[in-house]
Amino acid sequence: MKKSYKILLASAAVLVAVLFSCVYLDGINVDQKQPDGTFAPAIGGGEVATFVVNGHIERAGNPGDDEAAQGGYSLIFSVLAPKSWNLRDNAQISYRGTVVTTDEDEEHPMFPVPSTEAPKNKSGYTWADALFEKYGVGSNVLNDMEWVTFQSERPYLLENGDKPHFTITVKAKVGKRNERCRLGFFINYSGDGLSTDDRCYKVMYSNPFVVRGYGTLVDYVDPHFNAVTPLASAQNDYVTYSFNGKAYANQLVGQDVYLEAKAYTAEGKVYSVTEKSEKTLMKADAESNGTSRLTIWPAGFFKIPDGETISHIEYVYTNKDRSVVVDKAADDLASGNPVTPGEWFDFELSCGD
Amino acid sequence: MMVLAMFTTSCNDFRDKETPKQFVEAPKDFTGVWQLTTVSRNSIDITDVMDFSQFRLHLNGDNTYTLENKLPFVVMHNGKWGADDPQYPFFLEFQEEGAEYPSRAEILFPVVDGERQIQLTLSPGCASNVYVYLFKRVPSNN
Repeated sequence: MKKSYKILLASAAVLVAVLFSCVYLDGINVDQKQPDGTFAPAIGGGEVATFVVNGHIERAGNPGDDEAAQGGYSLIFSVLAPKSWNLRDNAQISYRGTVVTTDEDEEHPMFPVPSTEAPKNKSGYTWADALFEKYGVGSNVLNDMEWVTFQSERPYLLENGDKPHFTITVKAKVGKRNERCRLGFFINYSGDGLSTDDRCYKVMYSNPFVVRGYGTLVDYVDPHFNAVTPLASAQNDYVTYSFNGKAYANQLVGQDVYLEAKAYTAEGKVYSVTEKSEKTLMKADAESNGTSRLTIWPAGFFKIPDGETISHIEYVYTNKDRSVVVDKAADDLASGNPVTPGEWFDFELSCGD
Repeated sequence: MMVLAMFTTSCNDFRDKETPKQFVEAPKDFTGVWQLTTVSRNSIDITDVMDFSQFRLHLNGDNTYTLENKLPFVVMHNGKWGADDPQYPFFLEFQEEGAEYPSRAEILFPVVDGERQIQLTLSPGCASNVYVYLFKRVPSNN
């Protein structure tokens, strides 16, 4: 009885001494030096932003033979950014710290994880898909973002009780459009690869980060009543206007919603469509999600004469008798932004870069 | 060339089982009146988001074409049309009256329910927006 009890205790001890690394994110910095010398989370379109991520690891358990043979595990680092940044091709990542046992001040590169490599505990997934499944786009409200994952150039071998820290520096060429988003930063290590133990990975999101570029603002941070797709559109495209009735409380809910719009041409003319008819009635999504949409061919919708080109379209959403108008002023009021009374939504017709 | 290979290796598909002697290439006759049956934008079906049903493309036997109830298209005014190759076409070409050069669109000529359709790929607006128009013949009593 005593002997078997001892064996049981020993087995339990082995079970408890499972090796893992607790991973911590201690801070993220997305502030950029501004033209006036101050620091703010904003940058001009197409410029190179620098992000710094600090964290540390607390190791429990000594490496087994497999881990030692590999030289340990690699740091895994993933960034959530707008797809328009094409981060995989436009970022340089490096890391330093006591996790690099040779020299803690030496910068070492991190490289994109090949899309053929699955996280250890999510076989069949790419890192991008696994992180998207787990976190979506974080606290952002538009889906046009992606997780881009990098791995340390070399593995590091940790012993029980080690507490190395790391500093990761991201140099990313941002997109060229006007954008506002919360960047996401995720840290893990190759030996874990998104297990169900959330001590082994961490994620943090930045304050709203602004890119001062061109075109209609793409706001990933706050919900808005309005959305237009595709962002890059000309007057001979089919352009879809959406009214997101669930963004904020409004009085259009439960009523038919109409698009009212004015097209301004480069030649200095204005063409308005104010009728409340089948032509301007927005169609509710089948999913009853509070969103309704209208797709138009701008040149045909506004009857633009040959030779004239629309430069931008101002628009509002109204009910049939126009007793309720949802404009940009209403949207700014609801989202806590500065309000210009009577201001309409504006969509620039441009094919971008 | 791939189209050629397709037709060469699948010639047996054209064997009519009822009349075993029939073994001919279906003629590529584009002339007629065509209407839109499906439309996609950047690989997403947008057929039901707008009324595309009134648009008519008349491809006439004298190589002229006319557009009726216009929608964004390869060209916006009437003119002359042709195919790059009458037997194995990859492109249809449209030249507006008064235009210096023709515009061309990649086409496929699939058979759906025994009927030839024209699938045409175009970017009438921004080059980054790619549309696929699938046309079917307007029934002759229309």
